[in-house]
Amino acid sequence: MMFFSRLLLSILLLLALLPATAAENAETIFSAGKDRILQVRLIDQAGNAKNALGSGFVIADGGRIISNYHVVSGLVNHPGRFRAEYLAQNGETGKLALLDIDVVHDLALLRAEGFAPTPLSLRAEVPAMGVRLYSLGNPLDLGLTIVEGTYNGLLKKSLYERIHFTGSINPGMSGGPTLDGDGNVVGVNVATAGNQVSFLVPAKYVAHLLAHASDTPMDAAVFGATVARQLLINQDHYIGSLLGSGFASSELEGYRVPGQIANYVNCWGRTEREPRRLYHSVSYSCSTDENIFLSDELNSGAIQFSHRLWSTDDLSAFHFFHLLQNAANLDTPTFGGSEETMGNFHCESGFVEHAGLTSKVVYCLRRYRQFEGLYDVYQQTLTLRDNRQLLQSSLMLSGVSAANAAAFAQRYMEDIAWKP
Amino acid sequence: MEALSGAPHAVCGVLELLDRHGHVEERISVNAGGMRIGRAYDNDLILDDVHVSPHHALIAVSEGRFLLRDLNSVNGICIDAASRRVGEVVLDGERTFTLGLSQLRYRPLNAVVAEALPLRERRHLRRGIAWALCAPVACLAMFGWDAQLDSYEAFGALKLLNAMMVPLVAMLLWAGAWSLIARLLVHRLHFIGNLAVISLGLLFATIVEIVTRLGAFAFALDSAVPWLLALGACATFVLILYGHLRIATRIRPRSALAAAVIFGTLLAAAMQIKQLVYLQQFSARPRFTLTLAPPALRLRGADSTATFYARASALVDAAADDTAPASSDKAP
Repeated sequence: MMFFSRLLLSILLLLALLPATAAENAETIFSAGKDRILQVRLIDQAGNAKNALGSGFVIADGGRIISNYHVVSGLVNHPGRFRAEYLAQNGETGKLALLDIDVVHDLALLRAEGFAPTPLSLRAEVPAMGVRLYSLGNPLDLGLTIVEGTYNGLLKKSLYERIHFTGSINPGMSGGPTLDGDGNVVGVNVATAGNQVSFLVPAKYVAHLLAHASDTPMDAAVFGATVARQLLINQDHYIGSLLGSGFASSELEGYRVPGQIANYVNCWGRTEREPRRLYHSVSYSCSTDENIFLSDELNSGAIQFSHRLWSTDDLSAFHFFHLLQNAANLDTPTFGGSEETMGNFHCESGFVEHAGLTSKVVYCLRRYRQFEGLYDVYQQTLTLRDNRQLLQSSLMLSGVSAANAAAFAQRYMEDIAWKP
Repeated sequence: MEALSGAPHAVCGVLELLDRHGHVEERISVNAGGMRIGRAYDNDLILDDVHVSPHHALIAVSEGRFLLRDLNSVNGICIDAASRRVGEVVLDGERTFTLGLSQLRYRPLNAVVAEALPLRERRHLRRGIAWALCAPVACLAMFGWDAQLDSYEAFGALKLLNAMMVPLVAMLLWAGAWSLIARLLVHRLHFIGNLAVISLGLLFATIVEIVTRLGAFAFALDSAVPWLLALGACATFVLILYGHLRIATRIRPRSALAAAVIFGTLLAAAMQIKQLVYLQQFSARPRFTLTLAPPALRLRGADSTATFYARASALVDAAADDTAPASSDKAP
């Protein structure tokens, strides 16, 4: 009895001490790391005022800093319009030079002039689920802040590897480090979905960027070519893998259509049946959750497709197809980008026979002006099988080569079949 | 001057003063005593035309024939559509000639005139109006049907009425405006006629659009739809303008057609330029014209997927031709 009383007392004492230990750990990590973390600022040259804010941390000798690509993307998208600066915790400021980028994983390597404290080190092994982590950064320009959270493994449904961090990362913390209890970098703050659901770029991509980066600042003339090369390699990888493995299919009231073609593609269904409407429809749509940030107005690397099966019992064939003609012309998606960065869409249409079906198809393509060899593609397929039923299938690909776009769109169309 | 047989004041013919459209403005009898024409007040026929001399010409009898003789006027007498100047013209039948800018026609007493038209009976008039009203009724029915085609829900009488009201008011205002023009130019309103013209024009435009889209679907000519619709719009404008010009003015048919073709083409071209400018503007959304109709109306064969994508590969070249706008970036 005496033994159990002592054991209980010991457990209670331990529980009482735990929060104090965690708080002390955060305090230690903050103290140890604060001088190696900076605020990264993008300054508008004309207005001489800050245009974008983020965070960064010293990762190697010679003042080499890691931040997010999306924090400094203005340097790449508008060479000459912005300059990058840092603000240290002691109030010192200085210039930042861009050494290299990893646009796919949203990382940028910079060099801070006149700032070279001891670098943070990268954690070599993957943490165990539930390990306590500490994220640092400058949220909303409020000053350096530390946020506690836990490691929840890698995202299972993401094309681009991300750590799921349960903690509040806020705007301005992008590019800051998330450290383990020993002060080693586990990942780089990159995004949040709110409600303490945040995402980090795994430390191994930082190591990869460091290993391949040059010590001299990038020439503005090669910014576009560098981004284009990285995007082309990336799209070759995932489009090639999808084309090589074949598309998983789904069934839609007698039609076989491309379904969840990869584990990183998320699919949703919806039935629309209103008493007043003279038609009803069943929709099935899929998309990748993670895109590649290129600029404030343009993301890339996304795959989206949807199938909508329209049916009617009350409309004449002429009326039914007239309505669908309006829908096909008007319900087109908006891709991002501006005239400065993107060309206009050019389209080709016609009747196409595939898997025993005849469809009306329109295939549209536009080019990236800054990134040679990359295109956005939109395809709409309308099956002409029945007077009272029509399958409208749309496909959107962004940031792909023309050859991969056509190969993917062709495979996609060939996988639409009537299999009652 | 010598007198013809018979009394000198006996009427021998009629001289008609014509307006620029060839319509008779004034008639004056020519008697055996002859007639002097000019701008001076002592003439038998006074012409208020600055290009007519004070004593310009004389109608007289010579060797038993009526002659029109030039009195050494500045601009003389012209015949054959006012292009050939002559010193003397024999008035032995119907003859048109020009003094200065004034057009005159001589007609002998024995000139043949057409038989009188019978007075139209009231029932004929009612039938004509009824036929003319068929056009706006058919046009409104077409608008109602077209609005119903665009509706995803059941179309009640109230919705149908609502869909027809705006076109009806627009048609009435348009016909009213042309009626005012007709009142000014030909002194008659011709409201029913003008209403029939605009109704038939709009009916034609709607039918052209439906036929164009169905034809484009059947033969997979989707990219030609904007141009075909522009052509249809041009034909519609020409038809409407021609109809109104014929009703509301006294312009000759050929001139009315020429004016309608010129203005109709200009209007259609202006619309097409607007469309082209719109298509040239940047859009982050794919823009295309895609026609769709019941599968049985497809007349063109389908391509294989390989053929279609081989054709679509040309889009890469088209996209490469996009010219980039001037960059707003400035050197630091």
